[in-house]
Amino acid sequence: MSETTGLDRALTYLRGEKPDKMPIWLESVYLAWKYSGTPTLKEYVHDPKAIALGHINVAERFRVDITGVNTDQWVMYEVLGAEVEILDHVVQAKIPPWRYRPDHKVYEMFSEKVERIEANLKEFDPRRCRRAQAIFEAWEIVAEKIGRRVLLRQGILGPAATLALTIGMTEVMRDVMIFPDLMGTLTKMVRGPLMDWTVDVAFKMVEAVDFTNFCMGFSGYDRSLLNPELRRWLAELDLEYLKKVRERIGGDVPITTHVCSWDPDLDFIYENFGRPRLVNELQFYAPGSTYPLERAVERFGGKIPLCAGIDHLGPLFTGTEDEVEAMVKHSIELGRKCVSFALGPGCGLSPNTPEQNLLKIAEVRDKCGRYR
Amino acid sequence: MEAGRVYELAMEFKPFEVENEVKRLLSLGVDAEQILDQLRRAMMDACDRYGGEFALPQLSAVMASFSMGYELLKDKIRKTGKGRILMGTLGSMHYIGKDIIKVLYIADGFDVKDLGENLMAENFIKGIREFNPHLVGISAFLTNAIFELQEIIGFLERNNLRKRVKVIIGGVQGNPHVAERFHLDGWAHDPRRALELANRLVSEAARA
Repeated sequence: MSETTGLDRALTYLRGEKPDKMPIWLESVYLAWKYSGTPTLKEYVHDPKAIALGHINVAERFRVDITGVNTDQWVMYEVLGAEVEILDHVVQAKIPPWRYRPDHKVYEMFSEKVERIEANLKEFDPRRCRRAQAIFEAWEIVAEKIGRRVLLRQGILGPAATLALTIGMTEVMRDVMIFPDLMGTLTKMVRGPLMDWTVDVAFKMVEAVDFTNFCMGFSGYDRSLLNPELRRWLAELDLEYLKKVRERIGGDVPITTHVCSWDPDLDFIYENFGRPRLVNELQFYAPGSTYPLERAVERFGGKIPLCAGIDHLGPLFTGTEDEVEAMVKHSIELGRKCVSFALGPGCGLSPNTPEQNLLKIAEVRDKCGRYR
Repeated sequence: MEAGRVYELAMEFKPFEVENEVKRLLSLGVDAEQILDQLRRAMMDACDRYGGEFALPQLSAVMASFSMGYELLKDKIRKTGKGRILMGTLGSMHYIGKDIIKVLYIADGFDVKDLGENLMAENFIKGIREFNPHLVGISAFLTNAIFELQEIIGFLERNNLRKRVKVIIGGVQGNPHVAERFHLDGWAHDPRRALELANRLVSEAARA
């Protein structure tokens, strides 16, 4: 009998069934860079072979079942005008000039650009920019080399987040309170051409990983980040987006999730996206966030697969091997109460995470996290 | 002359109107301290409502009013001598959390120096040498540069400054594990806690 692969394990988990053992999800842009052997980050993010090699090395070294291949949050948005700076240790958005002083003109100019998207979607293909082209090539390489053994979670946030990440996330959140007409303008842009653009990019990403999954980001559903009214506004748009993505990718492709949030409104996410079975799992950040894993297991564990249990900023990053072992064992015990459970951190790992702590996850999982 | 309208406008998320009102009041000879009191009240109230009625958008909008109003007042107000706080973001460009706390500290009467973003240990060390703070508030979002904390604490220890310069962390990396691992004096995730921590630690540092 052939051995169960990480991909089989992950897909079984996403169906809400129990595989041979609990799958492990881990990924890290910067750990992958470290394992690629590429001297500078600037070279790395432009080199598809290096990006692929780094991610493959991390996946194999730490025996993960689920991973993702990324360089940063803005790579798809450069074609829309997002600007990044690549420092020695980080790729990040440039601080916009409207940081201290809100400027309505920014939205007027972006609205004009969005109208051009409607006229010519091809002009705004992210692959026209070098870094996005590199990441698409990296996905193809990784999918070919390990895609039959490991699930590659790839996705793009919804159209509202597309707009916010292009203009400036914190500035957009501030400015909707300051300019009374802005919500209407944003809704029009997001429901129109920006929706089509984001769905199109989502489809291209899913295609690049052989239709194994689409990962939907829900990090905006954070109680400290958005008040209930804005959360409802975002959910309406994301629901529309998710349904359109589903139409494009087909009904069989599982939808994974990502909730990198310190104060997640998991109940809201479940009610809006989990209960209607629009997504196949709830991945979130616990332990370490304000939503304890115990509570999530109690509320949703019997209803939808959960991925959590590794505190990537706590024991995994700063603790000892014994502390990591205790954390993983505790999470496995909780995970047994779920329809299915995957071990995973809240977000991407630090490149400084001790290697022995990372190796410990699979070791403890193999020992204690078997279903049969 | 009543400056209360400044408070109302700030709480209605109208920074441009705040700016115009501050200019108008100053032109009428209203004391800058009196105007600042209203901006301070708005910022404190916004922080009190954070986590309930307010989330980040509302808090940022009130902060914009404070910042735009304060810009017109800062050269006209007296220093309170409450204590010096050095702030900055370690290793990345994330600034919203740091800026909110900075404004809160200014509003509470601290003398604040903001070193900005994308900082490494050497920037904080230079800032400590030049500004002689009672408290260093480090905002850290990414883990990529987190080991720079060792150098900052090491510098303070080597120079016998550890007792009279307190160090706290905020942002996503502000958690008890990181605070303990790097021997920091505290951590905070929300504005109120950051303010309470600063008041307690600056008093301790001033007594050391």
